[in-house]
Amino acid sequence: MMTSYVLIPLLPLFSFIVVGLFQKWMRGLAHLVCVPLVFASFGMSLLAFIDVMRGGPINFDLYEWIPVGDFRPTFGIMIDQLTASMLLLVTLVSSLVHLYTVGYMHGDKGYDRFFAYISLFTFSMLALVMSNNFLQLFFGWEMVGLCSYLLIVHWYERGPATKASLKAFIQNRVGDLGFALGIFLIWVTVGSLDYGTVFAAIGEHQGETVSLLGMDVSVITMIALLLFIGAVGKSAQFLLHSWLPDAMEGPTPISALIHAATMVTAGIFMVSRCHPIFNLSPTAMTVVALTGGFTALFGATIALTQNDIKKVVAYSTMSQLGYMVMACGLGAYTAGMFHLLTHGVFKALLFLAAGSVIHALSAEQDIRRMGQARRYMPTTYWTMLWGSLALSGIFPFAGFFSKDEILWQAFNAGLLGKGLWLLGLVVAFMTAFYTFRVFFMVFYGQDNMDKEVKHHAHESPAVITIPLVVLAVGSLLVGWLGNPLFGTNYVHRFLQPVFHSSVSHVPEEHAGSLPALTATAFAGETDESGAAHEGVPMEGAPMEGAPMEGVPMEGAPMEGAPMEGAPAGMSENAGVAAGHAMAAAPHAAGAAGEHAGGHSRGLEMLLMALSLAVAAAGIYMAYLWYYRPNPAPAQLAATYQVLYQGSLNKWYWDELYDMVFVRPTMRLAHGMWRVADEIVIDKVLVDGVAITTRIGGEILKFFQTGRVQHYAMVMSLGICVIFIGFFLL
Amino acid sequence: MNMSIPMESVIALLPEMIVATFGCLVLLFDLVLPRGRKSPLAWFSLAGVALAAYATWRLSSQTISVFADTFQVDPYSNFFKLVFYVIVVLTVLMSRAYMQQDRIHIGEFYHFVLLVLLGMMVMVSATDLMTVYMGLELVSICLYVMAALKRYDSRSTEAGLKYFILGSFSSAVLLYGMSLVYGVTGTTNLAAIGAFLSQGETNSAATVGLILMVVGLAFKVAAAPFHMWAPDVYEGSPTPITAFMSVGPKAAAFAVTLRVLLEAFGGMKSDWEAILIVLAVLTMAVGAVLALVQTSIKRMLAYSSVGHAGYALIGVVVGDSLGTFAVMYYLAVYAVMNLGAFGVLIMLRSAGLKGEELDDYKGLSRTHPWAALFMLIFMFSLAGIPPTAGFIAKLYIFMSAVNAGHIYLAVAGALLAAVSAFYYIRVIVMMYMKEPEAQQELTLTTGLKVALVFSMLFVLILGVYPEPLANYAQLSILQF
Repeated sequence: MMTSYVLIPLLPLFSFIVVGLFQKWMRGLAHLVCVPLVFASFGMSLLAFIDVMRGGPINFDLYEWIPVGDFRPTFGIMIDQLTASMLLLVTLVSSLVHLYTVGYMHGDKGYDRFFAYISLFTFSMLALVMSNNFLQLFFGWEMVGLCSYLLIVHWYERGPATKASLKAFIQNRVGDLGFALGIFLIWVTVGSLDYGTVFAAIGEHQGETVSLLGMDVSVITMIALLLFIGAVGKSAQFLLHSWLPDAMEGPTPISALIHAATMVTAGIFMVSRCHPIFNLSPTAMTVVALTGGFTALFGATIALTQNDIKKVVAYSTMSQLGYMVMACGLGAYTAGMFHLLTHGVFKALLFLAAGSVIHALSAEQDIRRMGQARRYMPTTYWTMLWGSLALSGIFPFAGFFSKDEILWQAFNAGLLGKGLWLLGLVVAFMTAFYTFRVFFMVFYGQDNMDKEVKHHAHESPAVITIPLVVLAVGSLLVGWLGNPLFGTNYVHRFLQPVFHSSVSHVPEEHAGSLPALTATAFAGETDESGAAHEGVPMEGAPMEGAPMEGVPMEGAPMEGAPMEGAPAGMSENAGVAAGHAMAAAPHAAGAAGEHAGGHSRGLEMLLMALSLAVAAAGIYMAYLWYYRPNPAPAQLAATYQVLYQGSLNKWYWDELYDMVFVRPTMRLAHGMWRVADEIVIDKVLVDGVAITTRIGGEILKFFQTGRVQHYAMVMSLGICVIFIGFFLL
Repeated sequence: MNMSIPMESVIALLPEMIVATFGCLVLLFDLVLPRGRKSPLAWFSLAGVALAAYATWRLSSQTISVFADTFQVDPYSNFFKLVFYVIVVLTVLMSRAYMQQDRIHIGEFYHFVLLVLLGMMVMVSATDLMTVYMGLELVSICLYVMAALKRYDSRSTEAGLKYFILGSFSSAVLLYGMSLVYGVTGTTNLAAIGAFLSQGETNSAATVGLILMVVGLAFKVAAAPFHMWAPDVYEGSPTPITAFMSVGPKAAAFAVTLRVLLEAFGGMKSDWEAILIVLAVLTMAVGAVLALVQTSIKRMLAYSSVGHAGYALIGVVVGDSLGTFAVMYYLAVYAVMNLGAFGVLIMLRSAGLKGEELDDYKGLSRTHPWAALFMLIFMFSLAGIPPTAGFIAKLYIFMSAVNAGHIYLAVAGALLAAVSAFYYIRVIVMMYMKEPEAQQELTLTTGLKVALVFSMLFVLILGVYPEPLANYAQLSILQF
């Protein structure tokens, strides 16, 4: 069994090695290696998912890596419910993107290289989500960043692509620095990097402080914020956001796989994974929620006016990521993860559909030069419609359920939440509007295509449309898993154990008896467990300044349900984990409370109707303005010139960064190059040493006359010098 | 007096006897074989070495002292003997094409190689100043002749003559030192000298003797300032002979130096340590700096071999078990990688090209990528760049120095290694970044190919997995 779990990441790694090494001989046949392997990986993820569903989390160490003193990092695999859902998403989207790439990149001269890198990416992303410790998480985190860089710059002879790749890499580096510092601080504080150990022990460090610039900051808040900086970089949240739209310079399959469905969600995954840390810091949670909310709005306002089809989708990704981060900040991790999963499906769909349009229209990306495209490409038209509906949050598509879940949680989360709810509603309106703006301009509107382009316009081949259809069906169905209206909310039920307990860590030697050991107490019957927590008010949620003193057991009204579910012979390990889970109870309960909102189902329905109406209004407005040519948008833009230009130019954030960071750095670098490098190092140090040595050599060479008598004399002198040195000095 | 020779002595001396017999027989067969059909001699010599190697292998873990304690078979000497066998085999494999090309009498070459081997074997097994000197002279005299083996070439004869004059000078110095030591201690046995010197108070006559002996041995290992013969001799001699003498006799001289200094003069370590520290730094510096300004790759390698002697001297200075081990490891690795580099030189020797100038290597990667790749690996190894055996060897040397508190020696060594990296890498630059100029033709024989592939694998495998050789060397260090 263990092997099959290990194979999930190793199969893509294998195809990377094979294709990467034998690229030269592949000659456009790399997909024969990569595609079957990644599908196999998907199949095994499915099996792993079923195992987790039946038997609870899986956690084992593979081997110990570079042990140094107390620092004993391991490579291990943990598949709990959170990981299992990520596994499914990653391998599914990756498989479909692999397939799509066969058609999309056909004939590209870097075809095989491209396959090698997406396989490497898949491996890295899987290593990231399957990790059971922070170091391996960081390893995966860096690897996906590297792959993102390599893939954005796939067309390396294009100037914008190289710049965009550098931008992505450098901005991510800023985030990664914070992330790394966070991990260091965890190590210093807890003395371990293992998830189970850290999450179990972090509660004991409440009230401890670290000194930052003379101020005492709670160590947990500090850790949480540092980790969050990593998430900000990876998930393109406000302040480290500007790389994501530029990353669209890469080929479209990459935008779909890395910059929409998987890598950019790593930040949300990480925050959810570290919820035991975040939950303990109300400050950090507030920061997370506000950052997410603001990013959602920020991205949406820019997306309104962009004219590049991929840029619009990119900004919408940023905005949707903001939603998810916001949900995490409100403690509604399940809702955030749910949106992550649905978004992964329909956003990949939108990107792939956009790619199909671009592919069909001879690489045209400007929506102002499109129109009436539905005549040429019916499949793309229909799938894009479904994707757009899902993104806009129209019933019964996936986006509706997940977005609504977030809004509902926000509405229930105190004053701050109410504010964010309102903001989310506004963003929902904008989302619907810009999504359909693009849709109408591409498929309806005025026919603005070049003659030449139109001549070649065609529906894409089956390898492209099949993934589209699969994802379109997915974006219709996947939302129903988290349907709050009828029956059970499967997503909640499935993910609940994660956000209730931290995973107990089982060393390798016990791996055999894993299911029994790790059987988290909570994997048991928790159906409608919300009912058990009816009474837990949402005010218990962190941002309200949860009563930290009340952490121990008694503070948690979780009686019965969890502990009863525990097997009688539960090991100490699991016991500790369970005990800890109780410690984190207020928030766990809060998280459970997400679902407990059943008491006001009527209100929930009302809010749903409201958001549906808002989305419909957005679509209607787009319909009015863009279904047929209409002068209204242009007039509006002319009237509010400042706002329009601001949005079009991404609120001048690039220019600001350019002025504050890029140019001073370049100037400094230039100065260092001219003075420190060329003069001090090159001239004085390197050349100086070289010249001195050379002169020394020339002088010594002078003694090497070739005459035996001179040699003998030097030898004799040498003997004399030794004697003098020995006896006279 | 009982004149019968006990069986034990015969067994202990069996490898030496085999080599001596084969060495003489080669000369006899040479007379029988017609001109131009001398290749059986190579096989014959190799067979002799293989037989001797087998005998040594059977003795490898034993310690037998024979002939009134003048000759001793022990793991230490056997380690070196096995290294010598490898050196001789590689040399024999490499040399045939070159010798025919340059019309050198190949039968005599094999004869001398085997005699030098015999001398080296005697040297490393010697536990008496007399046997030390006998072995040393056997090696030296053969080498004088070998350097001049290209009789019609004035440079070769000049090399032989110079080597002979300076070598005799150094032998005289060494012998003078030995006689003084004998005068003080009344014995030539190393262990007895050691016992005498460690009990009595310091004796300045013994010190003078020690200094002279150190100087004599320093000449043999070509340590500065007694190195001046080396570049001229190395450059003038036929390349396979240069290759051979830059590794074999040097390793033997180091083995003797270690044994003499540790066994006989262990009590005067502070004295010889001071001298050797100066010599080591000077040798490394001279080797590095002078190699830098050479335009002939053969001469560059000559200076590089001076420099390498400096590194090995660091291990001698350290003188403890780790130091001894580091020297042994270093010499074994140095022998193979240096032979490999010379092998490429030999390969490039063809009718139209001498293959001895740096410029001859321009653009080699275009015309002969494999030859360039081999050279690249050997140059990296000589420069001490991982993942080659040369790196590990230097690492052990520096490690032993740091461990014994001679940190400055390790620092000096590392800095000078950086300097020396320049001229090794310059060869690579020539091969990979310049356009070809000369007509480069390879003279390839099966033997040469086998030798080069073996050296390359040796260098690369020991670069990442040094344990086998390291373990063997560790088991074979000198026992006191």
